[in-house]
Amino acid sequence: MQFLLLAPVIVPGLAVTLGIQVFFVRYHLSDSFLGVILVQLMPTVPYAAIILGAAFANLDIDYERQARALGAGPLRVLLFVTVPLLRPAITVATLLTFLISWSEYVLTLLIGGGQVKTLPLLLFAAIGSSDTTSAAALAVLVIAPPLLLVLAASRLLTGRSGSAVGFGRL
Amino acid sequence: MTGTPITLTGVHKSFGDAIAVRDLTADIPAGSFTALLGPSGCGKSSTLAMIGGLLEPDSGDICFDGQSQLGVPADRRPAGLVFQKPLLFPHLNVEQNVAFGLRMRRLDRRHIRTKVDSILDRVQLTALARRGVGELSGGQEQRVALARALVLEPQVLLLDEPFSQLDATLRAEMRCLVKALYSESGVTTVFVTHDQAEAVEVADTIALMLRGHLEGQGEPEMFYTAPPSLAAARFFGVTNELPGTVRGGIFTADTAELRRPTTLPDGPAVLVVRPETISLATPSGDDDILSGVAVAARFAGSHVAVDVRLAGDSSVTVHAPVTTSVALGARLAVGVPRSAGTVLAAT
Repeated sequence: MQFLLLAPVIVPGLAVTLGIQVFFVRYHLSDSFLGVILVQLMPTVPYAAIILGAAFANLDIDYERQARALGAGPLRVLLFVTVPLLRPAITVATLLTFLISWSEYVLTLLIGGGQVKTLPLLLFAAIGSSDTTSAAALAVLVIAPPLLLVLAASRLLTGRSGSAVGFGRL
Repeated sequence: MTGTPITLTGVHKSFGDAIAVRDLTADIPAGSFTALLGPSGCGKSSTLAMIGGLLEPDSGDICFDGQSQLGVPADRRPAGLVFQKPLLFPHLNVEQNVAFGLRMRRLDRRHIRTKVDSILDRVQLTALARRGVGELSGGQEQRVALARALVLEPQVLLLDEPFSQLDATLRAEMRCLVKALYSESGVTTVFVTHDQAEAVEVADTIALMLRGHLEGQGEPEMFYTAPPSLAAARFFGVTNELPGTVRGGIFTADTAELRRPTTLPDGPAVLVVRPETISLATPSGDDDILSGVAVAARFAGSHVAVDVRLAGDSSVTVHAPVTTSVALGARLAVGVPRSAGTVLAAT
């Protein structure tokens, strides 16, 4: 099971995508926004699964028992205890999957078929047509958000103490 | 605020093949401080979890004030729980941890503020209200956990070995605090522990659990003066066992001239005598005499423990005053008062 989860990272993404494309065409998912979202799960989910899996394995479920005993129902335990306890891992997983997805080129091109335009696609098109002005502008657009996000996240994760990570808000 | 009586009727719980609790029936009176005592693995923590609603019994019933609690989830039971680990939520500070239960009840902010301030004052943590929980010492953490449970004004307070991870001095301090908070609130308190000395000191009633069932329940003194069973007597520490037989309502020891009336049926039995109730001093006329040879003497601070080998293979331990000097190998007479000891069925 764990191996299956990690398989997309081990097997070259291009090989898998070429196979997937056949099915996506059959189910009218290629050249569509939904198709691109689905195919981008492939390189991202393994990382999210590894990070969150480790966090869940280390989660002490006695915290949840204690919260129940203090009058929190199952939903509120999840909201006010479990998620805050997992917040560092969720932050890291979100960041990492965003970075992977943000710079994804090959999968988007193959499944999106040029119909779904993401920034990397536009950037490559601009470079290909020697439109250096657009390319420069797009390059800044591609680089800036991940850079800012990583900065913000590293701030959050290395706050004064480990407990500061969860913001301490109910 | 007054406590609620808890009744357990025929409670049974097993995990796979392992039986944790077997046909447990017990009455915990309103406002009592009951120690649920037993060695590890005897089912005491499972019992507590069932009272608190974190575990459902396989069969039997658990009632608070006559109301069955079966199927009522933990968050709807009027019970506060404190575990062995403090389990303070790391993403909240001291104050927010204590306020957690009140927020779950959607009380308004001002109300929460007053209650939290007052309970923090009672556990002497006002100065640390805004600290992160990572900055607290072990004793402070457990005090926050206690405050977090008590601020909800539960009718039942369940403590699962709350001080077992603290050192001896801190433990004594925490016991005093729990006792003080208990007498202020009168909440029915069930205190799980494996330490009989702690149970005796803190509780007004002891429920002794051995191998998943209730071995006996009563005042702490009872377990010393009239233990309900041989296993219970053994759990309560150093005890002399004189084997014998019961015939026609009279117990006779095998190795000594010693008789006691008993209500036990005919068969093998054991007279259990605590070492502090017998003496080496010149026996008075009322005492039964056991004669033997001193084989060992150990200084134990408040007394000297003298092992005396009797005729046959049995031996007894006597707690003598520290001033006693004992010559090893010398013949001794041990005086057993007629009132001392309990005749129990042999197992």
